[in-house]
Amino acid sequence: MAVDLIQIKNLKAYFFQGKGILSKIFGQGLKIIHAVDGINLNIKKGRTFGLVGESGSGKSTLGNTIFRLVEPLEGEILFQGSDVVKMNQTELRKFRQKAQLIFQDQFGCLNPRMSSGQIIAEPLMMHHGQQKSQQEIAQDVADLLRAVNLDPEASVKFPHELSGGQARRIGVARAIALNPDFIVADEPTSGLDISTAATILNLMQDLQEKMDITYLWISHNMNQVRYMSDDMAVMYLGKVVETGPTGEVFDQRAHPYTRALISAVPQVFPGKKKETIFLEGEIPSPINPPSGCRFRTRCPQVFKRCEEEEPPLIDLGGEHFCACHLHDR
Amino acid sequence: MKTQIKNKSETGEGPALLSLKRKWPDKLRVIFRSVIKVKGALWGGIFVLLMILSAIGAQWISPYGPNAQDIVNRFAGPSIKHLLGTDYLGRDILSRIIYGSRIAVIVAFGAVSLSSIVGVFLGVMGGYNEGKKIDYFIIWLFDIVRSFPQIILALAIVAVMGPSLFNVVLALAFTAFPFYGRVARAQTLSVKEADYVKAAEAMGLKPLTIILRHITPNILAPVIVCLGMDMATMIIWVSGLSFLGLGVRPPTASWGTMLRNGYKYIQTSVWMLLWPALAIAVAMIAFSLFSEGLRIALDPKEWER
Amino acid sequence: MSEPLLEVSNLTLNYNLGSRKIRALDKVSFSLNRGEVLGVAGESGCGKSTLGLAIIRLLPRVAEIKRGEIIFEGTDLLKLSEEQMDRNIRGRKVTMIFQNPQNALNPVFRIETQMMDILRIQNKHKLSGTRKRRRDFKQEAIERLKVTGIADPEARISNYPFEFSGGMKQRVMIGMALSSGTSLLLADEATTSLDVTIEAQINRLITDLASQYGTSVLYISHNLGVLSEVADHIMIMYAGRVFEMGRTDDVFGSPRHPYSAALLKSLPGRRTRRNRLLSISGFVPPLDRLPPGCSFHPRCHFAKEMCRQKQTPPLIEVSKGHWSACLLDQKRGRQKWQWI
Ligand SMILES: Nc1ncnc2c1ncn2[C@@H]1O[C@H](COP(=O)(O)OP(=O)(O)OP(=O)(O)O)[C@@H](O)[C@H]1O
Ligand SMILES: Nc1ncnc2c1ncn2[C@@H]1O[C@H](COP(=O)(O)OP(=O)(O)OP(=O)(O)O)[C@@H](O)[C@H]1O
Ligand code: SF4
Ligand SMILES: [Mg+2]
Ligand SMILES: [Mg+2]
Repeated sequence: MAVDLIQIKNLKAYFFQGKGILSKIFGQGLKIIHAVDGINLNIKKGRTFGLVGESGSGKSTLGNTIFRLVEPLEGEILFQGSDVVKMNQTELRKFRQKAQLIFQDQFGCLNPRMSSGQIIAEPLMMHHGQQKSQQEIAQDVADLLRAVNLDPEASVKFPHELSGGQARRIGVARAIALNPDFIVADEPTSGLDISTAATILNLMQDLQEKMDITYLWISHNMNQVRYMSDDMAVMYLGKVVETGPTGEVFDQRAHPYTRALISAVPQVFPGKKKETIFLEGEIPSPINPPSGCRFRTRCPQVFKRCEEEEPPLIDLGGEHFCACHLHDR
Repeated sequence: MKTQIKNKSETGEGPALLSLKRKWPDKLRVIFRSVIKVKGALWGGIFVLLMILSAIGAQWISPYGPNAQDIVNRFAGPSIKHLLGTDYLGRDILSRIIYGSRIAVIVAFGAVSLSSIVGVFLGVMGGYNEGKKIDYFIIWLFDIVRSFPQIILALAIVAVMGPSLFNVVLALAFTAFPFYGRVARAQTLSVKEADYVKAAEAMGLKPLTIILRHITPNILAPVIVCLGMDMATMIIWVSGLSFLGLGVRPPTASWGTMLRNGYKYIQTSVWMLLWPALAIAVAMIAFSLFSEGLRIALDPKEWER
Repeated sequence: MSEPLLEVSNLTLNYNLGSRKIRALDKVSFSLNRGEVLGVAGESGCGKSTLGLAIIRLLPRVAEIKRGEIIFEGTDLLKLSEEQMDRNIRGRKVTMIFQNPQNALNPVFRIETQMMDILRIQNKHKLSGTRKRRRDFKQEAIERLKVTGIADPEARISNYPFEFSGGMKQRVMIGMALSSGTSLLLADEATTSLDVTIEAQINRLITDLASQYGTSVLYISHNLGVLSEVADHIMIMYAGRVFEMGRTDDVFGSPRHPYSAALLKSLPGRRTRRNRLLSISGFVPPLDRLPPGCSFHPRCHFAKEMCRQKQTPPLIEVSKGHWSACLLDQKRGRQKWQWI
């Protein structure tokens, strides 16, 4: 039985915004963005956990909070049993070296004044700087570049000279350079053509098999999540609305939002396509989340109770949970 | 490295391909080409270079010594013998301008580099630790220094420490560092939010490495622009201090003292005023243009290949 | 509605890196009719964004257009001066959604400021004389954020870009570009960080723009599914060249070029876990040292000796309105055969 590498308990991360010093003192006009609002997840060691959800629902914030790039308001993040939230700076740095993050913004995460070779070499230098010569590190960088299907000559290029997909792959190469225990991959293949994406997926799977790496796989590509992940969660407005083994979630689509999400997946070959569920209604804001169920403003199956009461995660059996009153019988 | 990646590597990779960065000569060529594309920066660079050369080689290129007097030809206009004329003691103005560039160069580079290094370091430290005690302390320090009028502060410092070139440089640097600090801090606040800084943090790098490698290079552009303008200001100020008698002592040749002396004889000999004023003006323009070139040289996006 | 709005012919472009000349576009020719959506797909790094940047003339300084024409509404964009481009074309008749958000969003200004600047540019020619007021612009900016599905735009519009999620930033850029006044929209991977429901919504906006206002769209994407839904025509590129071009059904239904066929085969689709995905083996050759002949031959299953010869296969019409650049096709002529 797989053990949990990461356990996230009731994690909350809010962003505070006010118009100035007055709002800071009196709390007036202060806006709170409920980016991550009470999330519980267990990520099993050596497995891939898929995370999907609406744009702006807090997926990246969750990933960043695990690294404490965003300080959580409350909650626990247990990594191999020790709480990341309570770590001091030295412990935190140790943890950060064991885990890696692939950023969503492929250009933004590369220092514009470093060449791609230097960028990939940075973690290697930090770790092996003493033992290895420049030449060996350069060799490693070349190997990494080849592994992500890039020409080693790309190492002299600066980020602004790369195409979107090339920049993305530099980010991936940097993350896998040190073979971490855990990788948060925030849309690791967006901007890549299917064939190159397939290379990256294969590479990451090989790494997982050999090194027992755990992935938190954030993606908008439902087919890819279905293919890659063992377990998954669907987020909506800062909350997990459905979580469970990937097959179960895709087959049962217990939550109306999951249903809409999967129905909207575009298909290459016409004919395979079923009716897309377009979500009508007002898109709720993370500043003022709706009462009761957060999805109720757009839910096609909304009924009275949804407004009054917030649905808890209901156990559907087989580690499959769903937060919807429709399942509470 | 890890085997599973290594076994993908093929053989026969020429060592030339294994560099992470471009090789230096190549890089220099690239930078040089981009800088000369911008005509102003090129001219600025040439003038700054000329100034430095004349400062170093003053004793060889100047026709006379700085204090050699030609009593017969006092207040002379330009002639073959004295290209730019002579002053009230019959000293050759050209020679004094050339010797005076020493002071200008020392002060401009000395004071500016000192104040910008200190200012940028403090500014980045403060910005990176926004909201912490150290940040408040740094802001407080900046505000204290800035609350005095700059020239008066410089005057006071030189007056206390005694008029010497070194003290002038120190005093000017001290009055100027908060300006760099403010610029650097403001820039840091925005760069700090960039994903590449977060990426460096998530990698587990030490704060000092992050500051030096990831933040500082990316906030330098506006600092460098200030730098060029400031160099010119510093030259004027040291001239001003000399003018007040607090800078370099006579008879040392400096553009400021020359200006002061020229001022006295403005009615008899306009040359004595004109040449040093022109030197200062040209230096100002040259430094501003030069800093533009420097900014381009440091920004890979501007590099022309 | 089938007069061409944009005709690109023989566009060839280099990035000059010292002695290395990276040929990012090589004799690219296509035409785009009014109100049509042309989907562009292809290997990462093959020059798709470069094509978009070349049309709107925002290439970096190291880029050099060797030859070719970009005829837009009868005028060659490459012959216009910078000033004419600014006054009539950029942001007015041609807008672009950039793949790289740093090209479009400045981190130190509020979203509000940036959107209003764009709106001001877009409105100048329409309302010359009657100056729109600041408030109206802000209202319109809020409106545009709303149609792209950003919740509570009134409150969020005063945020800085870093306070937006990846997808929200992308939607800001879409909002800035979606103007009914434009004739040509260049969408460079505009929906890559959006979830499928919002993506569908945005794509509906884009196709509406095309059908109602006659805006033509160059839609660059790696998501073949999306392309198949929005695009009328598809262009497949590889290493700076056009490999295949035709109506969407033709290209996806019966791809004629081995590269397109291989691409369609690497879709994750129904394949289950632990079952390796098919990827095209080998990697894209460096663009400054393309192999002779067909640049795809080192990776092509069907490569024959002739593919390695000097001649690069030209685009030939394999069936009506369906073009492909493969020598095998050339040999077989119009004979009908399928790859998958
Ligand atoms: N630094 C920040 N300051 C203020 N608000 C923020 C900040 N970062 C994120 N947010 C807000 O938090 C919410 C969640 O953002 P997040 O980036 O986690 O979304 P996401 O699920 O990753 O979306 P996407 O799929 O579009 O990337 C958004 O409303 C966003 O605007
Ligand atoms: N400023 C530049 N200097 C040098 N080379 C460049 C520059 N910009 C792009 N390139 C190179 O030109 C090629 C084409 O880049 P482009 O951005 O057009 O690719 P793309 O098709 O958009 O790829 P992607 O799908 O990954 O975004 C790439 O190989 C890239 O490395
Ligand atoms: S709880 Fe109600 S509103 Fe929420 S998803 Fe279920 S049915 Fe829809
Ligand atoms: Mg995100
Ligand atoms: Mg691109």
